[in-house]
Amino acid sequence: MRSEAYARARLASAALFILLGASIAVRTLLVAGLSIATIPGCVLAAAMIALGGFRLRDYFASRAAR
Amino acid sequence: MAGVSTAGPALRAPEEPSLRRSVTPWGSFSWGYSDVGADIFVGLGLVLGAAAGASNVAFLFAGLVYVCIGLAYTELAAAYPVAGGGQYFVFRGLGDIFGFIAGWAVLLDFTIDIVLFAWSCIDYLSKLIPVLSFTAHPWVHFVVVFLVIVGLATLNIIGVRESSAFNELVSGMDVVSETAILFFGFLFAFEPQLLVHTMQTSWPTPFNLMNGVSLAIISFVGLESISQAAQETQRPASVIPRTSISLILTILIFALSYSNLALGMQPWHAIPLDAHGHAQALWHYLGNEDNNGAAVAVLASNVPYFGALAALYVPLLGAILLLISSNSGVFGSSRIAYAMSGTRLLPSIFQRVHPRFRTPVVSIATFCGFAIIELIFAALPSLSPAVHHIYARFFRGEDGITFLGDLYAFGAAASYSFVFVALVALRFTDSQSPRRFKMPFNIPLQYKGNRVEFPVVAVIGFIGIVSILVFTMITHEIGRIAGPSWIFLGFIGYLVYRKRKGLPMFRSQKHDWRRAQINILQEAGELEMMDEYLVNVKRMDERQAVLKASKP
Repeated sequence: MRSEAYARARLASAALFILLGASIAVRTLLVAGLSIATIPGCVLAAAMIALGGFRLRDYFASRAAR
Repeated sequence: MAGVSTAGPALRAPEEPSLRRSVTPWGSFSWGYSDVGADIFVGLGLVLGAAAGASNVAFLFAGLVYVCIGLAYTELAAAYPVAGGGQYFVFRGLGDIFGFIAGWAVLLDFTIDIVLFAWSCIDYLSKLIPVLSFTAHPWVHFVVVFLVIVGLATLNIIGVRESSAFNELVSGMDVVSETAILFFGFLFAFEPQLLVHTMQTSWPTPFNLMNGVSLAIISFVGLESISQAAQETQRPASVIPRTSISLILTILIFALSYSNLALGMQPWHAIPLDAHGHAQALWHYLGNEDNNGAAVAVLASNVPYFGALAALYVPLLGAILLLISSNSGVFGSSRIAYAMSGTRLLPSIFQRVHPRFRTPVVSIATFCGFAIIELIFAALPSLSPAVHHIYARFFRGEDGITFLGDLYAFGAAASYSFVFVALVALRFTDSQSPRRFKMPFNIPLQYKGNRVEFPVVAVIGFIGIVSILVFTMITHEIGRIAGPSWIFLGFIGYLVYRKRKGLPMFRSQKHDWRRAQINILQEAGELEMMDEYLVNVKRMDERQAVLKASKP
């Protein structure tokens, strides 16, 4: 069984990934506008948000299992 | 954990116990990470050298295809938790011939894996020990890479393999290190305007972009490790999807982050002038022949402040990770050859084990021998001016790490293409096997009275990987010749072997997949899945009996 501290650390990292992803998306759009240069940055942001979301889902699943 | 890892390619007679399933979720993640995570250390410089200002787009295209491949491997490894990986999935889904071709392509990749990562390992070390530099001292570099391969082969024959605890430690250190490089790089040196400017002014030709995309896929190779971990993980059906999706996203994030950082970073130190005395950008410097084998270390050393520390440890950490990856090539090739021999796709000599160490000595020696031949072909132009002239005339001067990258891209694209087809086929022919994870976006259909789901993402991934295979064939002179030749010669050998053994040459042998699946799930400890499988099989048999009876 994982410890509560470990689960909270995962939750914190999930929130960090989502925030980072969102800030990358916003900054990329502000700097590059809608151009091909925006796409890699936006996909990077989406991947970060997805990883955060995945960790968040994992956290809630482990909470529900307790 | 050591019980798993020291087993290595050691083989078991029927009465011997199987591999102990004791890999933890973190162990499973780090197993994959130590294999796939090392790829960016090799891929970054190669892609920057080819795709220039569109390197991030090249990584993006290859990365999206890789996500599809990763999802396919996750589904298949959770449903069939056996170590054969792509070769086993194709063998099971498409039969003997395609099982052989996919396995043979995977074997090409593993032999390249051995050389490419050993080569790059020495490139990284050369940043600390300049005498190992490939461009300055090609003979020293060649001899050291050769000795590394011979050393790894010897260790694998003796049966020593790095412990999983060591893998976990190195992977953990690398995740922290790469995150730190990216964090400080983006914080202190990244300029979004410079990224946009580089993309606009240094956009490559379509040919170079295709070249870059085909090289970018090598940053995502090594998913076989997911299925190898599945074989040795307790309750793989629930653990593997969790760990492999984290792995897929982590690798994608690193690849996209590095490529964007390299294009938009202001270096801490002045970049030396190029060979013609012109000023060069950081991305150009990372992609040149001197640095493309150790691009991550050079980039890290150019991160303000943190670079002073990174210059000391990143080459060493990178070299260790690359050495682990090279070793996984030796281990993986011997295991796949052993498995293919067991299913009579390769001659039984590949199952011969060392009388004392009980390791597949013939498989290890054969595929390390192929690796050494590839090393010679890759290094020859630098060792002999006459050969350099021939390569320059016929192969656009592709040599060294570029030569190896070409073949690696071919082998990966070829074997992954078959995996997508096998996934679709298995959805239709083996709908009874429970799948704890499925690729998203499926279209429900009826097939022979059974409800099946058609995987749309597998089709998208297949189109993506076939286009990368086509890019490889168009842009790589060596990959175009040597890759298909490897497959063709292997296939001829397969036909000769099957004919001599009196086995069907173009058809498959009879396989009892039901019994096999029950054994697989039982050994994995997935007893609920096994019960579900038995119920599904019973229902399917009943439906088919009804259908048969209703026919006139």
